[in-house]
Amino acid sequence: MMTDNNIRSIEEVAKLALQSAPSGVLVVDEPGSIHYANQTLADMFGYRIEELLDEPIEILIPQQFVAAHRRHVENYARAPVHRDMGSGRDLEGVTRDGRRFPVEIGLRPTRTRDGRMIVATVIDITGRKAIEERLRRHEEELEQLVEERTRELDAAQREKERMLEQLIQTEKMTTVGTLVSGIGHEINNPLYVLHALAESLRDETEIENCRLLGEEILRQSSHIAETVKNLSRYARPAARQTLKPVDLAEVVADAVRLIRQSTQADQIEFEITASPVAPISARQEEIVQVVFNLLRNAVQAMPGKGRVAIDISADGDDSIRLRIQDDGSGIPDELLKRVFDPFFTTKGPDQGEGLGLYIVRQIVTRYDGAISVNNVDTGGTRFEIRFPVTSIPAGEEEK
Amino acid sequence: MQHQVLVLDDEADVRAAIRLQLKNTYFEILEAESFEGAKELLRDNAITVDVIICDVRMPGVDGVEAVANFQRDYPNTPVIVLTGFPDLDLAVDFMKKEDVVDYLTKPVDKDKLIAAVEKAARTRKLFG
Repeated sequence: MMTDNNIRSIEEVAKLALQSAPSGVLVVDEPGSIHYANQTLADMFGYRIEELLDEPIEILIPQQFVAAHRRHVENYARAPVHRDMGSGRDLEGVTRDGRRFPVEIGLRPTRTRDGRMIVATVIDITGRKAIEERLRRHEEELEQLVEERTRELDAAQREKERMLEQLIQTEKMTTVGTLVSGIGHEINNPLYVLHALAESLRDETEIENCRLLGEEILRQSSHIAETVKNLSRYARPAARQTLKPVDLAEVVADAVRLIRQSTQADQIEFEITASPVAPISARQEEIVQVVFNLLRNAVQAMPGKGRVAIDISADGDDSIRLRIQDDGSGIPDELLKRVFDPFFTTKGPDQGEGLGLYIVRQIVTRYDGAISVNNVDTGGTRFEIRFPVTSIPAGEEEK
Repeated sequence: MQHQVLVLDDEADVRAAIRLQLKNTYFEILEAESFEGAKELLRDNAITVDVIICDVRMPGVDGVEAVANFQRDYPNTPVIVLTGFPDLDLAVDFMKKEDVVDYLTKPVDKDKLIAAVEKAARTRKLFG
């Protein structure tokens, strides 16, 4: 209370309040000399009070702001206004040992006997600034997080839509595949009976005309069989197997074994050269299909004898090259670019309906691979496929 | 000594067609329209059946299972798969099972069937 023993007058109270106020207090004359500084202010700037008195205010201002401060003071002298705490710009003070720190300043002009003075309160806002900075960083991080999460959600949504589309497509193909496969079975059984009967007709009759009829029936039934075979290959559901590492050399061996079953391949020599390469991520039977179709193509291009060279090698670090080259008659240059079109064929009517290479390209591109075809100078055709070496996408590994 | 081929196919016409194609060979044909029937015939003729010709899709039994069963119970009797399914991965599956398994798709040429049966029968003699 005011009546305390240690406090005798209102002046003393005021002095005490001023000296130990929690804010720094400064009185500066119009030219800018310090007339008064309280203890808090002196402590804040690292001076003793008496060291500050009569010094220019600029000693408390970082060098780079001094010029601006002078202009500011001149403006202020022309039109002195009261300025609230915190309403100013970001201001900085500098301590005796050169450390800069953020301050908030309030100004109030006042008239005295010695002329106009400016009373200033100074608050060190280092702590608050730090908190503000932390808050700002948090906000930024939060915004970034929200942005990232939004992007992730968008991507997830797109992925979901893509997968749904793929699922629908797979579902369609599965249905078609099952249907075609079932129809194939239903056709092939009676076709086989017809085939056997026609053979009988051909082989067991003395009548030439009947023998020829038998042969014609066989030719036509082979054509039906080939069509059914290709259709069911085309409509095969791709999702029957999951992706797994596929060894191309093994695939080639399988395909060669299968093609050898065909009587057309009796006189064909298969020469395989395989460098060790990384496995590709694929459905094995689809890759077998690719190689099988290309081999069948090669075999059909070489009626009678011939040689098929198959070569597997690495093509850089991230792709594998498969070459299949026959020494047949080649493909006319003007037709080369059409060989992958559906229903394009240069073969006879009993050698397929032109889906084989179309299927090959479909499968290769499904695995982000590339296929090309060229005639070689020595005669014959060379197909070249590049498969990317990829890791298996998550969730697609074989269970 | 008798040489027999056991034909397992649920369609009588198909069995008849196989019989027709093999009629000028020295093989006698045993026909079964079901897996159970085939097992019974095998029990009675285990010594004389040289080769089994087996369909893949039949009512009641999966061909892959049937082949596995035959190979387990009669490991020396080669199996030829003859199917109406032009299914490549099925072919690969079968080819990998045993060397003695041949895989043919319908319609198969007479010469090819005869060659496959004779080859399979020779394989069996090596084991027997």
